[in-house]
Amino acid sequence: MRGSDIKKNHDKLPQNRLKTGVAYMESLEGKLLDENIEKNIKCLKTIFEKCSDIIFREFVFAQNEQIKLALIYTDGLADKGQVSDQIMRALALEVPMAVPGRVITKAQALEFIKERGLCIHQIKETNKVGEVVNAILSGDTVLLVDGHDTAIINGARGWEARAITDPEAEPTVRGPRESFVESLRVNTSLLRRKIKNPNLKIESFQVGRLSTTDVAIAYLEGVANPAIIKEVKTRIERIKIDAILETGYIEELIEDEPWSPFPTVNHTEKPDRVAAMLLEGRIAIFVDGTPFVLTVPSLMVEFLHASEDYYERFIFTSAVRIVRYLAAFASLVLPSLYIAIVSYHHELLPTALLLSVAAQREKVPYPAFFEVFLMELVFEVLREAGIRLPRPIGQAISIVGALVLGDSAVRAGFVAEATIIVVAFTGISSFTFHYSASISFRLLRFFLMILSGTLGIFGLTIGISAICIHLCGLRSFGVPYLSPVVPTAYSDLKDVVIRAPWWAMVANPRSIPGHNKKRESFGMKPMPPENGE
Amino acid sequence: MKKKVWLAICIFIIANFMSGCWSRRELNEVAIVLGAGIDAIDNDRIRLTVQVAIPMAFASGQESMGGKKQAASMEVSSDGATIEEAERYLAMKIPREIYWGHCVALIIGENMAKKGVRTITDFFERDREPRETMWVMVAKGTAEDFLKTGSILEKTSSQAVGLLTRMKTGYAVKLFEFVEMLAEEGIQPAAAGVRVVEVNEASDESQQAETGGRRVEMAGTALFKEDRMVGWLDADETRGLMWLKGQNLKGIITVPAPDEPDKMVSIRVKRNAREIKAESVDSIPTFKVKIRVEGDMIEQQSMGDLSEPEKIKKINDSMAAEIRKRAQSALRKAQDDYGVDVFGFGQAYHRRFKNEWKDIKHNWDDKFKQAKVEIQVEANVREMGLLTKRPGTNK
Repeated sequence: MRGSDIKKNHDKLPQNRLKTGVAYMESLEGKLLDENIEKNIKCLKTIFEKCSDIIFREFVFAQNEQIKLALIYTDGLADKGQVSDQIMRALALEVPMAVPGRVITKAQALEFIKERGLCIHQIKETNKVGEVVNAILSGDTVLLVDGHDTAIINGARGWEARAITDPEAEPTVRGPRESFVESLRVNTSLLRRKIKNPNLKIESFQVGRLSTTDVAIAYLEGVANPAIIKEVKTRIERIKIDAILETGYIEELIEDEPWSPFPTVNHTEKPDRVAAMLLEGRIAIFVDGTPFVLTVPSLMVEFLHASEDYYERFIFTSAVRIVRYLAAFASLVLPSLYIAIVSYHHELLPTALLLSVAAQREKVPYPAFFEVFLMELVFEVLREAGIRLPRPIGQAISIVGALVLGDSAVRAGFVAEATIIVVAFTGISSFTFHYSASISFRLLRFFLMILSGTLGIFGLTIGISAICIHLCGLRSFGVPYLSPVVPTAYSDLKDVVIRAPWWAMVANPRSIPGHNKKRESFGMKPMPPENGE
Repeated sequence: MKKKVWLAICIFIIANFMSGCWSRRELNEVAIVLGAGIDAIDNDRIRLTVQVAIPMAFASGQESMGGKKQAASMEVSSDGATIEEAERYLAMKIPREIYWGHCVALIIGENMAKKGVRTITDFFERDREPRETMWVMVAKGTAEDFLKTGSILEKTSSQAVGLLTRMKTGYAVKLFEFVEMLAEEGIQPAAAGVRVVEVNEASDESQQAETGGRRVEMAGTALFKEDRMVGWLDADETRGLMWLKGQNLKGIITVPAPDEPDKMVSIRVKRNAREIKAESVDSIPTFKVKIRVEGDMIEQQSMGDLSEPEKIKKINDSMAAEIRKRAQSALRKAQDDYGVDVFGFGQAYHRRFKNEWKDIKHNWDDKFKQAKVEIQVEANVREMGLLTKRPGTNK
């Protein structure tokens, strides 16, 4: 079929089908329910035409068989046990037992059902068709009563969800082992369990013109800065998109510098990390259907910190952090430094090492730049394959990757041993810190490699300067990205490269403009009692 | 704005690739010079010998594979009026670019040293590749011959002498120090001496064949008058020179034991310093040199209890006498035999008598011959090692 034919057929489609898109949902706005239940059912059936998972269950009220009732819910989203036990059984059988002999008229029915008939905790009334449709699609069960233009929305949701498991992207040795799941309510409950305080506010939005995805922002009132909360809301409300399937959509739509390779919005799958972020005055954004939660504003240093840093003892943590910073630096510049030294600045190596590197390079036909570039590409392919491939063949790939490519490439004389060492170390280094920062480092590594391959260390210096200048200009929700280092907040340096002991971190970070200045009292350092008892 | 960004990106990419990796020099395109030797030949020409590393010999695990050990270096010589000219001729013999950045030693043949070295030091300072920290040495015989001598322990003779100087057993001088001495008034340069000796220390025939039954070693000090070499100090006198110059040295002083003079005590030098005081007695320059030495006892043959203070004092005295003897011998040779002030007495005199110096600086070496030098040594033994008394010490 040619394009013009498709268009022709498209034009022939009935008008209401054409409205299936965004316009259709909008057309429901302002539409009200009717008093006649038949009409209502017909209306909803038209809306849910060809939706085989929407169940319409019509029955009569036990007290007065004149009164027709209808239950509408989505199969799989509503808790069927609750629907049949607490709603249908109650209304169709048990109501006469509660008030024997009393006759309920049509006019009294709605009030009576609400007060005595339903054994459901959470009910809501509405007379809008749009809201009814939304409720059904969200998993609620809608009860229509004959003679009333009001529907009762029963919160009896219950669907199959993944169990709470260990965090996969951010594993820890010490610290909570739970991670978020795909269900928004489970996620907020995990957070609520960490912070039992009414000031923890969770505000809901619905984003996505077609998907109507639940989005929630969480913050601690009195801790988070109201201006930033307002800014987050404004930016989320601004989003007009068909669907939000992951927090990544929101991240890209609300970030400050869309062209920057650096992430200005942090994400995590650990409830404890989100709780820690909120306590420092940040704001979390939850999206239904993904275990990843965004936190804003975020700083560069956050990406180099792990939640475990705060659980393990501070001396060890500080040492590990220094290692992590070095690894981050290595993952950015090591290959380019190697290229620069091997191709331009032979003076920088000790004689013995130079001779050994020279011996390895004797058999290599390519310039160092090309060789490293090639190996970095191979490494990226291996890494990508490692993520994508089905679990059972992972072993095979790692053997092929490590042995065949690494060892044989050296034996065949394609690459020098030193290159393999540099590439492998760089690759491993990039796994020591947050994934989204490490991918931006990966990208910039290639940029620096080109520079140092053409201009040597001079080029590398230019590249690093350019990156620093760019970083200095970045902001995340109005907070300078490099703070607390640039601009320097001296009191915050206690938690950058080192992590001060908990008894010394009295003040909340100043770089996040919040209202809770102190997070603990002074004098928390453990010491023997003064009177010697 | 968007246009500008794209333009910037395009310029960045084009500029990078247009430069074509300018001045890029892959490691397998350079000949790494480990040592350079310079000899004088006829017609005022010089012969430049470079010891070029053969990288494959430095690869790990290569020796066991091939069976026959590969030579670690090759020595190539070429003649020219200047060093750079000789180097260009070398380019016809070596298929790679000559790279001076890792040159460890500059070996000057005795002939060249006697003819004057000012003509050759300039290249090594002016060119940006050679390091100023390379060792300057004078070879007894020719530098070419020296470089061609192999080493069993180290892979090349340059590395061998480079490591030997680090042992601080003999006088060693780096290029920049040598050039400073050459330029300054009131001091004459001295450089380490090296030589090739015939030995048979190889453990098997293949090693024997490789080194030709020869090895390199340190051999005293070459003394210069201006830029011309005038003579040698032997190994003992070199020690004296180092004491007098206050140069840090690692070494042993062996003195007779206090109670049993036929048994010996060895002291390892830990610290040494010297101080020169210049005076003018009847317009004859007079110098008081104070040498301070500290050492640890490392060995003793006698059975006496040497931890007693008066015995230590005796050891200190005989140590001082020994050092003084060495210093005197070096001084005598330099002052009387060669008439060169390699110790820097002239500088001390200059510092003290600024005005008089102007009159005598032109013939300072003659004046130095008449100078009186008084050497005072203060030696101290600090530690006795792990033993204070030997088991069975005489009561």
